[in-house]
Amino acid sequence: MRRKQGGELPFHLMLIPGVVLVFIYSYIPMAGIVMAFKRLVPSKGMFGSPWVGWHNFEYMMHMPEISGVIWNTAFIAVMKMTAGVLVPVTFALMLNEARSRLFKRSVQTIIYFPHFLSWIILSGLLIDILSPSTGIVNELLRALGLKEIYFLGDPRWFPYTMVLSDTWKEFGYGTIVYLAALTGINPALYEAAALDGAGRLRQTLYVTLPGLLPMIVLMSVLSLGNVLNAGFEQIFNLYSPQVYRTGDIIDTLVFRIGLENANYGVATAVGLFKSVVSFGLIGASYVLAYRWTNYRIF
Amino acid sequence: MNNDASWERRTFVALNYAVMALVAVACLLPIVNVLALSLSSSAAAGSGQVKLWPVGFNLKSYEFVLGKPEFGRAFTVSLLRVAVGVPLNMLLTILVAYPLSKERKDFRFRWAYAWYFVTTMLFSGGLIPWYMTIKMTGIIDSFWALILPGAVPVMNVILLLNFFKSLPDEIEEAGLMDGAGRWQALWRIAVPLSAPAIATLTLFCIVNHWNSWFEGLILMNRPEHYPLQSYLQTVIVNRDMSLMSAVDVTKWSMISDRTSRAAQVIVALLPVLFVYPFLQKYFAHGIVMGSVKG
Amino acid sequence: MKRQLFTAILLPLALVSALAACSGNNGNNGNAEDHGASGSASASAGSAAASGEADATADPLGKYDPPIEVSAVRAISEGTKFGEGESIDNNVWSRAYADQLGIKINYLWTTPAAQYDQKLNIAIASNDLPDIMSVNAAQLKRLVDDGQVMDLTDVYGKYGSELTKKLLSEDGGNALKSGTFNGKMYGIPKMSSGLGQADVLWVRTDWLQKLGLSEPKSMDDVQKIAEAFVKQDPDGNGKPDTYGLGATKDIFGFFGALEGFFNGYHAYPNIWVKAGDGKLAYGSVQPETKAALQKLQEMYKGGLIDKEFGTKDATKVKDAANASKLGLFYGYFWNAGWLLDGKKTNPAMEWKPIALPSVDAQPALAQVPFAISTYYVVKKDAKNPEAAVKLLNFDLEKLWGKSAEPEVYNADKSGNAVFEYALLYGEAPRKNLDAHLNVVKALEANDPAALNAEEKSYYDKIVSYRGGDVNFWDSEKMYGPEGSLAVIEGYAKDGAHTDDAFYGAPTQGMTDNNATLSKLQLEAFTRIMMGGSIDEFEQFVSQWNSLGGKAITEEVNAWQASQ
Repeated sequence: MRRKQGGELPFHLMLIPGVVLVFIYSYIPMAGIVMAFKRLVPSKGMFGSPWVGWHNFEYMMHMPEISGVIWNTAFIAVMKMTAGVLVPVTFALMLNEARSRLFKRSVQTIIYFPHFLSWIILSGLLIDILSPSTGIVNELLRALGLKEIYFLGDPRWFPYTMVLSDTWKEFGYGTIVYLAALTGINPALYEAAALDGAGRLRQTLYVTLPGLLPMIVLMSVLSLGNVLNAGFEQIFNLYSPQVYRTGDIIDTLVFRIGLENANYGVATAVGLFKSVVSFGLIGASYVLAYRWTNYRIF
Repeated sequence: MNNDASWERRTFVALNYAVMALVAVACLLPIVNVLALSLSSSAAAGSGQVKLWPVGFNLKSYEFVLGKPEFGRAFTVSLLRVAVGVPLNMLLTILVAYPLSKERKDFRFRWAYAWYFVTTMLFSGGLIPWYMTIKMTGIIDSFWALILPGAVPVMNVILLLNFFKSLPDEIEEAGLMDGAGRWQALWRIAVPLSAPAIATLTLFCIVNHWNSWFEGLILMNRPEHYPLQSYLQTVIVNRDMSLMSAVDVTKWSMISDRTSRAAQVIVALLPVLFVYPFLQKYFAHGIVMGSVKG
Repeated sequence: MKRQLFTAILLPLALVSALAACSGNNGNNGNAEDHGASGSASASAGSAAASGEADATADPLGKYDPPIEVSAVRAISEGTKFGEGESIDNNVWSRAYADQLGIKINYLWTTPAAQYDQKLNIAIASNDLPDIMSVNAAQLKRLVDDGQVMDLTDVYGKYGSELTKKLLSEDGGNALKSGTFNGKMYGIPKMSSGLGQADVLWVRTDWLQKLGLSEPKSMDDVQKIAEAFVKQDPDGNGKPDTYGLGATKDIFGFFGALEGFFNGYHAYPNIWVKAGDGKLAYGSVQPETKAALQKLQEMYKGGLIDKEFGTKDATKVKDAANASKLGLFYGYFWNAGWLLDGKKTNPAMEWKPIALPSVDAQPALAQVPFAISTYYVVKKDAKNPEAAVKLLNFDLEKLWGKSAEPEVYNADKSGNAVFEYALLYGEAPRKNLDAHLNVVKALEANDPAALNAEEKSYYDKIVSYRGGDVNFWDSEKMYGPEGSLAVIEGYAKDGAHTDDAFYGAPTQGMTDNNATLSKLQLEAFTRIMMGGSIDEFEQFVSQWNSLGGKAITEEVNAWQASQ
């Protein structure tokens, strides 16, 4: 009885253009993954180049301090992922409480600004702002009676500085996503809650937050794909030898190797390693999210 | 809303505003600094005197930037790129997201398609194969190289499919019962109901096309074909001064000019600033539910 | 060994070019017409990789008839300007190539200089190469190993003009040798000066005067001046906000770089030097380097180096200097250009470049990296490999030769640097030094008649500076009688420099391990400077050796033995 118009054929038709474009520009280049197991001899082409087995992976894994570098990467990335969910959600909720439309719109616009400044420009600014002797942040700390912090030069602080500055730069983007998700919450729910005597806080806790949950889960799962991407542009522009110990990440390491020797095999091998890890994490969390919430995120 | 009068509530509201205002200021300051630099004399900027207020106010850097033929050319390329690229992005995003938002009972192959797209977010063959593929399809150095390879923004597809999913099934069911086909259900029901999400994703696409510089540098064979951000990258990027010969020194003083770099950043930012408030209209609360009730 | 190579390869070449030069004397336009036919004949002979040593028909500047087309790629420096309606495909040089050489250059792509390496790496990896391109040493080696480029020995021998050969061997043949693999020349070096990358000591002389100090003559003076600049408030603002000696997070470099400081202790980090036993050794791991590091540590502890140098790059140090917070640093001769903003905001500011002071009675020798960083190569299956040599002949002739026309080919009337449009380029290693000497002579005689166009522009700028235009202060500081080039000229005259003794292609050990080794070195040096135990140096040396440094040293010595 519930037989609908059209069946599944229109779905396939809708997908065709996307499927074709993605096949051409994403799947064909994926053939290049074989480079992870080869040594590129350009004159022989990608497929004619000699196989080297796991050599590229071994080269990477035998780099001194590689385990430290992987740890730094994961540490910084996981913190960024966490902050990248918490901060935008909180801020979206805060904005949601603001009544003045002008204020809301201006703030919403302004927090997106830092996203438009490149790390090259920002790094110059941050070095000044965070300087222990002359930077404004440390002047504030001193005014509060605290000791100054060498944010960019102290290996203990460096990873946190990266997380904080990255969150500051990018939280505007996430906030917009959650604000859009807020529009999808049924106002009737608020009315019902209000009738039950729930104040604003409890409405937020019992209506807004659950309403946002699917989006929060989705964004968290997707961000897992970045567990080995700690942000090359940012760290490359801000790190220095004194913080290599905690600040050197996989991408900066690969970059420095590439400076000496444009070694595509190693670069591809590292990329593949990162992809496999991300794939595993996203796949696992996809399954877990489905088990727990019975919700398919994609 | 009458319970707002309690003092806790008022303190909370005041605090809330204060915190948001502080954060907004923190996000605004760097832009103010760049703006101040762009309006300062180059000597003052070059000796690090400019903080938040211009030193030696003048508009020379804007005259210089806007007067350069390269800038105008790159600006046009970027505008065109947004004008063509964003609608194409959105069309494909909608067309892909809609079928994938269906339950398995309605669309048996959705899981296969879903993973087909998600996989591309995780695996890539790297720069060289990507370049060679684009070259193979014959669009290197053409406008289309900036459009086609990234035509399906998978991240946006996933976001939109979740918005589609959150739409109440009843509306669409009702539509289908009334004899509307899948296509009509998509364009007449799902898309209008997701206006806030679509406006948001449109903004992301605009920003993405406007901001990306890497493809331009790699895929274009002539600097004349660069979009704006690629062109800006070539003036902003730190140059390896160690390779300079004496003759470069004179040229260096020209390109090192911080004030004109700052002016370029500001000018590049402006169009997005114009678009944002316009799109914000669609971010408004309750569009979805309003129509549910109606 | 060097001699042998010279007589074996260069002498016959010189003979060829002598013959060729005879025909070149007809004047260029006439030459092009007279020898049009023979030019094309020689072109086909050349492409067949002719075996004849002294083929009289090989005309270095002969015109192709019918014209040929060669493909190329190139970087276009940021700031390059073209005249009305002109472009890289249509300008005074491209027209001259077409009219006088019968060569049309088809640029597959052009890119801003900063992006060139990346784009070329993609082109190399996807085997999508033009006929002529410029490459760096690492790229050259990869291209040669992979057989992607052509052996140019014969073509260079046959077609290289007298001027070209003279210029390319002006450094004693090392430049040519560095582009030669197993006796075959694959890379034509782009000639430039290594001495331009030697440090001088820049010091604020108005501060010295104010504090009653004299110019530094020894490393002790350097320390004393740094101390006075920190503690005696040289800018007179009543605040202890000035730094002593400038340093950056990279430690080495071109501005606020410490090579010059190390050289003062007879240490030569980052380059290969001849040790006592005649073998080559890496400067960074020698005991002299340790002594210099120890001194730097002492200065850092004493507050004579910015506590935050570890996060600051050259631009930040430059800002400090321009804002009158820094009055003493080591850097390249052209750093005056970076100080111009400060001079403009504070005309009382006065800097002087000074020869490197030494720690003892032995004069300090400035370390000089190998001068050649760029080579021109020709794709393996290019139809007209000799076109590259001819283009180079033409470029050098029009820029520096007897028939040079600087007002046409160097800078045009509206001041555009048209020499930038030429595809191949090279300048005499002594070009800047000679320009300095000539400008000084002209200034003394008050007569610029003998100067070439480029020198004349420096002369004019110095004259305007002396007439009160502060915008050209930097020219005085570089090319003037007390300019930084006078200091470098001093190094050259007195032999007060140590050249990098290794100028071969990067060895296997270097490509494999340099990324690790340079990180190791930077970390260790930074830690020591910032107060770590000086004994860490020994630890660094042994780690350096075990992580590949020892193997590289062996490779480098094997290379030396083969020279």
